[in-house]
Amino acid sequence: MASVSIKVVYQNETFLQAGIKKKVQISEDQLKFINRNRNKGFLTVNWEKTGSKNLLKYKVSNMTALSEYVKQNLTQEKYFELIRQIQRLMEFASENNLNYDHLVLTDPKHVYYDIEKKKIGVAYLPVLSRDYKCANVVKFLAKLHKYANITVTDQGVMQKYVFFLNDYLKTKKSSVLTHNHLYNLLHEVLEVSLGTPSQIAAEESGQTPADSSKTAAVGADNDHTIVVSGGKKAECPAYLKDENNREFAINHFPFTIGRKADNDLALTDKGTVSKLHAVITFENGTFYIEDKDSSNGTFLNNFAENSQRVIKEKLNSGDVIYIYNIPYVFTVNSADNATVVVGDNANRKKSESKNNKSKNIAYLVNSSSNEKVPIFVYPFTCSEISGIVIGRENSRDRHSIYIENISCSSLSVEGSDIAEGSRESIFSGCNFLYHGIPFTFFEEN
Amino acid sequence: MKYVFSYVTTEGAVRKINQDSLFIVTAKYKDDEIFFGAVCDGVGGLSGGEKASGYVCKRINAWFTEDFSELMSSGASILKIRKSLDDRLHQLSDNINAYAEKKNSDMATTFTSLLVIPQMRHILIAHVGDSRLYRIDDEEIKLMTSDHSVVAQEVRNGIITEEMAENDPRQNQLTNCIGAGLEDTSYDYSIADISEGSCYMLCSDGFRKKISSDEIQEYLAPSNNKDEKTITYNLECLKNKVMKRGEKDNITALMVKLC
Repeated sequence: MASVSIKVVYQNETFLQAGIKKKVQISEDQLKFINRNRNKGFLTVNWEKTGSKNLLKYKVSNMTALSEYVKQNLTQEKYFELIRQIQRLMEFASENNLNYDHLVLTDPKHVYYDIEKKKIGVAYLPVLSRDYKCANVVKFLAKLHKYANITVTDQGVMQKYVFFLNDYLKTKKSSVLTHNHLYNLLHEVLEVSLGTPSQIAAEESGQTPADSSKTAAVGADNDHTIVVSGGKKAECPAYLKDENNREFAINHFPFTIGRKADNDLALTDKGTVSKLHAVITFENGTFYIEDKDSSNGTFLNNFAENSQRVIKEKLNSGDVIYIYNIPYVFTVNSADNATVVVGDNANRKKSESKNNKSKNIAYLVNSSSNEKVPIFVYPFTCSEISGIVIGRENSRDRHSIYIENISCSSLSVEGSDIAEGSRESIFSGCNFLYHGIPFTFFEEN
Repeated sequence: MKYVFSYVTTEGAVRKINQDSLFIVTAKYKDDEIFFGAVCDGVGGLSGGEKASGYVCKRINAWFTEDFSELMSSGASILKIRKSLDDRLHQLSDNINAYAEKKNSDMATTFTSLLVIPQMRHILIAHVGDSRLYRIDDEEIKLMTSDHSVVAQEVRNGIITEEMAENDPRQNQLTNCIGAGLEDTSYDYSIADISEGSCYMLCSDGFRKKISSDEIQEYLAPSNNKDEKTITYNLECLKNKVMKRGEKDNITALMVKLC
């Protein structure tokens, strides 16, 4: 059996890295497939070939190892919802002829959880070889259970589950736990309620890929039909807005603009526009507008017959692109609504990280529920911490972040009480108690 | 809490002077031991760089023995400790600027420090410039600081990629440091829980530019560094590797294992 080395590496972003033999053939189809199906629970992956190995780097930035996540206090329902997610992922893998054994379900340390999206992310080895065996689902579940800290609401169900795991581990070592087994266990043996179908539908459609409005309208995964309002715009890295405020999502690159109908932005009734007039590209974290030898030219931020035509120019959010004389405002989606970016395109991932990094300056984590509250601007307040303000002040030669108690009867920072009307400097990692709820403040970068 | 630590520092293959400075100090307080270590990478012509880095090390070491110990015995919170350190660093920056102006020279230094306070179960990280602090476990290596350099800033803003950054000629341009006439500046601080069994490694940019974080982890993982001797040996190995790969800068690294 071939071995795979799995570890976490940090290269400006955090990756779960799987190292496999150099000679093993990577299936690019599978690689693309899993990157397209991030919303199903696959971790987005990049493939690098080094002199000695194939390195598969799974992006896990802003995610928590499942082993760590379950150490928090979890309700029984939440816990089984996690297992249900694993089951659905296995089901999906099986339906799409992906090899079970290539799901990296060895250890909860290697499975990740996105707290914001409430989604599990499992690494999948997109290889043609059948030598790898990374999934031992029963062992995985047993380990997960060992780590987990669950608030048990139904002792009977929990006992049944634990009994099942132990029984499986002892007696059925060789047999494989399939998604069907797991489904039966959850539904028939344990009768676990996992939310109403509409809740699940809403959750899943929230993760619907950006690449087409069609998908959203037809039904995200053949199970549920739901249209997410504003989804199209919200999930693309950038968009164009015309004079009538109509928005055109730029959801892949190059994004073509021209008179012919097959362009992404087709201006079929405009005689001054060339068949393929211009394209918007995304390279190394930057958007560009490029003229495609159009007859009448493309202009940026200033249109005049004799002004300088664009050949290839960097785009910034807010720039006005003139397709000859027709203006379009180019806008980069800000991080708050670009939460889902589908990872079949390395460029798009970069745009995501770019957005996140430039917009999100800090965040709060509710240490008991693990919820993350992003901070985009100072001074900041929100419903979770009403009555207190987090701000930035400049004094003499430096700036600092402070937390100010405006009207909160109970606030303490790192053990010191902060009375109403007073403030305290804070910095990354500082813990504070707001009405007894623990929060930690983190600065980005 | 017990600490096993060691360091390596050299002027490197090309430069005649080592402008890097470092210090390690421990103190016993209420039956437990506190650790404080820092790395400074001096910047500046003539003797400015090593003067600045040496001065900051010396004065911050004094802060530890004087101000910090007083704060601890008066039961001050981590916020007060941070503020006291921040005030001292700014004071040092002002002093360096005043001296540099008088001598009409450039003087600056980076500063990255790690303060482990077991009594509070916290570590406090103070950082400015492009020296770094890593936390190394057997499973992962994590960069705990962000570089204050033009290149790193552009990577963060998505202007250039990491690959482009590696070959960028502006490697040595800092956006923030102590001294250099900078007045409107603030330093980075963060606190985190003590991670027992982990190694923490502070280094100047010369130490890490020619090696990958994977290589660092391979050599410096806690399970490979049981005692001072092995830490020294592994740091030396990495240092030699870096020099072999043509690093011209001064090389400094300091590592402590918490056990």
